[in-house]
Amino acid sequence: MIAERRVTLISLLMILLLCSPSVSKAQDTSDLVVPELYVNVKSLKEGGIFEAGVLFKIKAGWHLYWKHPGESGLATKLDLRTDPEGFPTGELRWPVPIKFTQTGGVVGYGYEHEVFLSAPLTVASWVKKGERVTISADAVWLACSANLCVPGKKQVSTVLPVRNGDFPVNTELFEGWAKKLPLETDSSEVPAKVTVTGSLGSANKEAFAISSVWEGVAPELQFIPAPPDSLAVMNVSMKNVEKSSTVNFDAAVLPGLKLPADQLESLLVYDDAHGVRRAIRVFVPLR
Amino acid sequence: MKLRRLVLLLSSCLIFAPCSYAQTGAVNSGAAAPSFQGTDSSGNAVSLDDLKGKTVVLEWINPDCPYVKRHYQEQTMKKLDEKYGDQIVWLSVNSTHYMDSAANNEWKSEKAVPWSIVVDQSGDIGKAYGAKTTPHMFVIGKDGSIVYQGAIDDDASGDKDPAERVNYVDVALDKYLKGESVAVTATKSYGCSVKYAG
Repeated sequence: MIAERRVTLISLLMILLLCSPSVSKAQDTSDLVVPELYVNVKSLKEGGIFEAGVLFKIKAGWHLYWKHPGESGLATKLDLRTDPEGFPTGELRWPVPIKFTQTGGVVGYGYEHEVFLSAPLTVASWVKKGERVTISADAVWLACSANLCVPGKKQVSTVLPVRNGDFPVNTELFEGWAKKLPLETDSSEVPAKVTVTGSLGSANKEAFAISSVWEGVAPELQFIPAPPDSLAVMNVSMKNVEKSSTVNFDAAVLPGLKLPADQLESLLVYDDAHGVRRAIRVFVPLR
Repeated sequence: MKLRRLVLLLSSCLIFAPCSYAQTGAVNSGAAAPSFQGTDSSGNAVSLDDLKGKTVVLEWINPDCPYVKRHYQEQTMKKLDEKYGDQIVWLSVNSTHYMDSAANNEWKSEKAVPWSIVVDQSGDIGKAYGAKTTPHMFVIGKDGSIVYQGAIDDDASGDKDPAERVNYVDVALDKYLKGESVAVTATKSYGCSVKYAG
């Protein structure tokens, strides 16, 4: 009886000291995440390429998830649509995420404070000058704090006219966030040469290595894999020797499940010479 | 002993918050499920060892998690429990650090949950199993080994047509109870991260 009371008292103390106000069920969650739609042009032009994206403003103490959320959470989802339909739309671009470790050592990847997800679109060939185009974005997310998760969704939209020219707008926003995107291995901006070894072959488990040779001393790397649900990535180790860095890991297909694609997308994250967090996107062929 | 450990853990959390606790004891499917002794929300003792010879389903819950809310709205767990009836023993485990017996009991009544909820505020049972999310499922065979662990189904976002969803626990139970081999013994679980104390 006394032991139980002590446990209850300690639990209460813990709750008071460790729990943020977000534990209360009566919390107003409407301002946890505010999505805003931006387009990089004021008007569209026939056949023109433009960009549209959503800036998610995230309340302090909360985070949203990357396209591969880690061991828990839900990838933020953004569907860009147009009316009239049929605008070829490019891949959604994800800024380099941060890695966070939730209680119990549960690893997550995502964003705090704000994140801008965008994609390039091309004006469909049948859309002519004088018409108006509605660009809308359906956003779905899971916002989590240390103690609570709250799902959210919102549709945001804007209407643009089709004119003789497309006039740039929101340039700083788009250019600023473009710098936070991962670099592809063949980009001239990448200060390293990356090679990948390993193959599942006919086996379901194998060892892989991502080797990189840097222009200067190899920086401390963070390896962020984005495996499909059917692939387990484990035993990650890293070693730097002067200009060279090697990331070793094992990948295994979970029994009874199938691989949806033949490559594993991953990020090699590092701080550049200015201390800015950057990443190289590395596709690891699995077979 | 257990109380002292709890106090020590809590003290270190207060000083060094946020606490990190090295993940221990993630167990492979096929291996023995970690033994545990706990108390359910009604104050009854629950011991895994006492259930040897039965097929047990462990379901990690957190009533505040939107994934758990959705599944209880859709009656996913209840339908499974009803389908297999006496062939299984269903146990929920709540490792949410801030939910005590009273809170668990309140939710149990509200949702008319017919099985026991093991109150694991210290997170010891959760960590022994490597429970990472709510929900996180474990099917334990009659010999005490893990038959299946991971996600409840293949539809984390709940977008799929329910008829199209693969309920991994249902498939595993169906095969196991018929004496057939279970093809999918482990999947990655989905949900909110378990709200451990540290």
